[in-house]
Amino acid sequence: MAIRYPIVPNEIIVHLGPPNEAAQDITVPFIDYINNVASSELYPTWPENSLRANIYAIISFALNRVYNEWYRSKGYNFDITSSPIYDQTYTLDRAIYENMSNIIDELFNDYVVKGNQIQPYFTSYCDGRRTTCDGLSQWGTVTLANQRKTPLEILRYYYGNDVSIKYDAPVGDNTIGYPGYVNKLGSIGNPVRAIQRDLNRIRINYPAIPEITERLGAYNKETEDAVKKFQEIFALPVTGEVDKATWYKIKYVYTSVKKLSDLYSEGLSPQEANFLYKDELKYGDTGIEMDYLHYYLDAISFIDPDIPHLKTNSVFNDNTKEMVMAFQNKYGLPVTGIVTYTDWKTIIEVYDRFLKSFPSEYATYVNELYPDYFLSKGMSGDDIKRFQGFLLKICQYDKSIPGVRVTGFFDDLTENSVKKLQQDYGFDVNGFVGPLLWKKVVELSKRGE
Amino acid sequence: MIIRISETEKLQNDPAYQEFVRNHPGTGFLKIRASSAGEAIPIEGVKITVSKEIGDNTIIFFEGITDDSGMINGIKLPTPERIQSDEEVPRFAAYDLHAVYEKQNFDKLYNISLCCGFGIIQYINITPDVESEMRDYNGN
Repeated sequence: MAIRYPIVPNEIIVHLGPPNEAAQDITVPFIDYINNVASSELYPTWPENSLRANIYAIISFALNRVYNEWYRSKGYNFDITSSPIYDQTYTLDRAIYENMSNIIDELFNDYVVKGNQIQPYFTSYCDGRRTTCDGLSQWGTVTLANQRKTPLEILRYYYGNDVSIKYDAPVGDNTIGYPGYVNKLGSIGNPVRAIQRDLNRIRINYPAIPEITERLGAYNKETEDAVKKFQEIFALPVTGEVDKATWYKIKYVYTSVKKLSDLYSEGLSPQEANFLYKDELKYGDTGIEMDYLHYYLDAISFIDPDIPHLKTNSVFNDNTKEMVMAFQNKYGLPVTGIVTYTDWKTIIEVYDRFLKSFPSEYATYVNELYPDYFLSKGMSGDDIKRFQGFLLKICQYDKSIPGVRVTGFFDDLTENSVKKLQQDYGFDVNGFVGPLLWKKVVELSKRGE
Repeated sequence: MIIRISETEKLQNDPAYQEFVRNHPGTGFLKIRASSAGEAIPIEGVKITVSKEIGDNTIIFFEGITDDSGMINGIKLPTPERIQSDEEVPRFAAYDLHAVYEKQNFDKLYNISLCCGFGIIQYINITPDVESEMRDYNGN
């Protein structure tokens, strides 16, 4: 029989009273349920590790009830009750604490497991002052947190040394899972494309969110501004970066908006579903993704003797496969010769690590290396300054390029020059600087020397 | 009597309020989020009033209307001083929060509690008033 792994439900049905008494059943989003229980059960003044340990316990308790169909198997039409005698305290319409909400946004699909069990552990708990029990003592966690114990150490103190935390359980029916890394200014790929699509759809209902006009899968300043406004509206820390909490909140609101729209028969349009970047790259594939892959592998193989430095073009050919397999073998990935998201992520991480710890004998070339994120209008920093330095050298001999000021700020003038170069050398004219354009600009900058 | 927090002269002569001020030197923070259909639709124009009965008077600490994102941020309310030890039960200040959205005949009272230095978020979930819409539709 196939193993049934726990899934975090989108919604949970709460019976507002003891199980055997008549009371209203309400359907609430799972994350709102956890927020409500945490704010009903805990004090906001408690140390963060105490709150985290308690929140893990609250989540596991609820998931255990859902996974085991505790009430449904007894003939009830709800998942859990609001009664602390039977389950956890849920208080209808109560306000929630912001500091707890921020933690819950991060932890809501993590839960406690015991030994090799699959099911979320039944993490019973009590107040520890008015009532005591065999499980976790809420007030006791405060004392342990003040002794600098981590959330897991606190949980193990009460539930035994064989408990651990299971991270990132799948969410809902069709929710696309968190990619596993923070998307921010300069990131590229499918997750960025999805964020842009979702935010642009959400802004129809929330017009204060600025529009993302360039939905090319590169996380630009427009995307950052839209994310910041979204975070402000939905009471998330305003960082402009899409971490796990922001990712799932965007997915939740997007789903709500689409669900509502389904009433008017609006589905996901083909345009929305058509991602720029493929989920995997394999033998015979062509396109811009291949150029990116070859750029990164080329750079890594230049330094790492275990990766063969082979000639490549715009096609996933035998040489590409050989380099990919060598890379997968070296970095403990399944040696398939096919590049999945995990492989992509590792390739980028390795490239980034090389950039940061470049051997001294190659120091003169460091300045010419692509900084590992897309540059675009509105960004600033040393990498922009480096890029503008190369552009300036081109402008000095090619008067058809609009010009550049080496300020470290990617302004209109820089963008216009980038677009002109893209036009001249057969790139997509979008104003973004990816690895290939960077390489081309470095190469062109040397012609005038 | 209803007194707004801006009516400083009246409040200066109210001994119960003055005592409240002495006992509530701290500040707690409140955010409002008004929406419908699982946060799919922000509700603009929800009238929010935060008040508290102090002595014989009802003091109105905040009045405002949600914006086009359904939110009001940065509401500051007096709270008792923060207790230094986190191993003691914190002290809270309780207020009444009244939310009114006339378009949907929505009128609800919430009890909120704040403690010094911490923020709370009150979600106002507005469900369509089908009965009144039906009445309008039927002309009755």
